[in-house]
Amino acid sequence: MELRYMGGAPEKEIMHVFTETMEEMFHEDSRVIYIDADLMGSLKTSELWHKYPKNVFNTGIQEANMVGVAAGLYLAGFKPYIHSFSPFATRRVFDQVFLSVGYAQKSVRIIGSDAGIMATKNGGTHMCFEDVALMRTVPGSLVLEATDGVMFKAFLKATKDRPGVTYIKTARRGLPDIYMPDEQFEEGKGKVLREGSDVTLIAAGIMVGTCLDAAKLLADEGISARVIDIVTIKPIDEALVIESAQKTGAIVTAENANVIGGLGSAVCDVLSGKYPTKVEKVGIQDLYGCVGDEAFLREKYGLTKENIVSKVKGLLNR
Amino acid sequence: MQEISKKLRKEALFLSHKCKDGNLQSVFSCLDIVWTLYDKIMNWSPAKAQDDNRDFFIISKGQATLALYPVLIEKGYFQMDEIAPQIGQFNSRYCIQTDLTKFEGGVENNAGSLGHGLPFATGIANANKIKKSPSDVYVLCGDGEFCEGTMWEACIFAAAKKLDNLTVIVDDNNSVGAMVDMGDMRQKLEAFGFDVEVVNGHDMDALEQAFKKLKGLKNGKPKAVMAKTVRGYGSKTMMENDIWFHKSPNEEELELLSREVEQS
Repeated sequence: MELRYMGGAPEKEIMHVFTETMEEMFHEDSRVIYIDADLMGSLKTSELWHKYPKNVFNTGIQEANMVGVAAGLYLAGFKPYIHSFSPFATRRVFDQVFLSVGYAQKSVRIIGSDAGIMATKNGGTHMCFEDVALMRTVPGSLVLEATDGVMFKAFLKATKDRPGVTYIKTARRGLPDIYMPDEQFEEGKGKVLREGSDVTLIAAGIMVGTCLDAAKLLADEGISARVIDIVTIKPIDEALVIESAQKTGAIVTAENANVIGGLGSAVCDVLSGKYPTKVEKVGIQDLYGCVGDEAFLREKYGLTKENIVSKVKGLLNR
Repeated sequence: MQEISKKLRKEALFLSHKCKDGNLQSVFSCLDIVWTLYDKIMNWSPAKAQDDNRDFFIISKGQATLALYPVLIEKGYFQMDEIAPQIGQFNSRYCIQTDLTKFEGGVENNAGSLGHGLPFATGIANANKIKKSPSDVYVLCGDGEFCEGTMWEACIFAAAKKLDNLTVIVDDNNSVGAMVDMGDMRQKLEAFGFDVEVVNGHDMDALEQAFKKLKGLKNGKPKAVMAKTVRGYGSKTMMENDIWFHKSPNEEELELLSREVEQS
C-alpha cells in the first residue's frame, strides 16, 4: 500500500489534529462533548474551550470525577470524549472506567496523551506502560495507539457512537506521518505495510515507523520482513495474525507499553490456541519509566530498529 | 523581597535553565513557604535526614520540585555543583518532579501525580501518633490539587484520627479559578475539621507566626495554612505571562528573569 513515511516531524502535530477534528465534530453533531481535567494547556485546546462553551468542559484536576461526569453526560444523550495524560486517564481512574462506563453500558472515548515513553522529561510518575494491559481487560473495549495523525483523526470520528470504553493512546507531538491523508481504517483490521516472507513484524503506534525502518535494515541482510500495523490492539485482527504466522513462521511484536498484557501478549493469545508460533516481544520489559528524551528512552527500553533486527535474527538463528 | 528569597529564586531559575524544563510560576509561588518551613519551623537538618523523629516535608504539588532543591542546597544537604550538571540529564535523579527511588533521605516522596502527597503525609502523621513520635508532618499542596478526590478523603481521615501533627499548606495561587470555582476553601477545610490560618504566602514572618501558632494548638485537630500567593512572584514577566507555567529560560531569559528577581 502507498505510504508517505519519511520519518521526521509531521505536517500537523497530534494536538492540532485533535483540535481540528473536535471542531469538525462539534459542527457535525452538537451532542459531541470534550472534557479535560486541567490539561488543556498541554493539548493546546484552551481556545476550543472558550470558543465552544456548550461542547467543552474543564473539570479541574479531577480525573476520576471526569469519568463519572462523562458517563452521566452519555446517559443524557451526549457523546463525551475525555482527555488526560495516559497514566491519569487509565491507571488512576480504572475503577471509574470499568464500572461507571464499561459495566454500566455507557459510551465514552478516552484520549490518553503522552503515551508511554513520549512522557519524556516528566519521568516515572507520568510514564504509563500499563495502560494497554489495563484497558484490554475491560470487556468490549477498543484499545489502540495512534500511529499518526491520519489514523488518530479517523478513529476519533469513527468511535463517536461506539458503545463501551474506547481508549486511544497517543503522543502529543513528534509522530511522523505514515498514512496517506485519505487512508481508511477499520476496528479490528490490521494493515500490511510491507510484504515479506521470513518474519512478520507486528507493531502499534510509535513502533510502526520503527518496524518499517527495521525491515529495511533486515532487507540489507537478506531477511525479508512483513510489516503490520495492528491498528487496534483490541479487538485484534486474528485472521491477519494467523495468516502472518502461517506465511512467515516467525513473529516479532513491537510496542510502546509493558510487554505484560500488551500487544505482544495479545498476539500470543491468538497464536497459542490457533497456530503456535515463535514470538519475540519488543517493548517495555516489566520496568518503570524514567527521565529522558525520546531517543534516549527508545535506547534504554530497546524500542529501536536495531533491537528489532537483533530480535529477528535471534528468532531465525541467523 | 528578602535577600534569601531572591537567592533561592535565582537558583531555581538557573536549575530550570540547566534542566531545560520546569514549572517556574509554581516554584516561585511556593519558594518562600518551603524556605520558612526548613529555616524556621521544621526539626530537620542534613544530619537528621534519616532520623525517625525528623519533621517531614512532603511535596504534594510535584511540579514545584525546583523549589525544594535550592532550599536543600542552602541548607547544605545538596550541592549546586552536583545538581546543576546532572539535572534533567537522562536517568538523572534530579528533574522537575522528585524521584524518591533515587535518594536516601532528603526527598521524601515521589511527586508528579497530583493527589498522592496528602494521603501519604496523613499516613506518616498517623504512624507518628501511633509511635508517639514528636515528629510533625508538613505537606505542600496546590489549590488546584484540591480538585482531586483523594485530597478530601485524606482530610476526612486526618480529622477522624485527630492528626494535630499534620499541617497542610495550600499554595493558594489561584490556579484553580481558571478551571472551576472552588468556593470558600477556608470554610471547606474548617468544615472538614481543620484549624485554618490564612496568610500572605510571600511574607515569611507571617508564615512563621502562622506555623508556630498552629504548632502550639495540640487540640486533636489537623492544621491548614492557606498561603495566599502569586504565580511567578518575584518576576514581573512571569507574573504577567502564563507561558511560564511550563517553560525553562534560555540564556537570555535567564539573565532577564534573574535581573527582575534582583530588582524586586
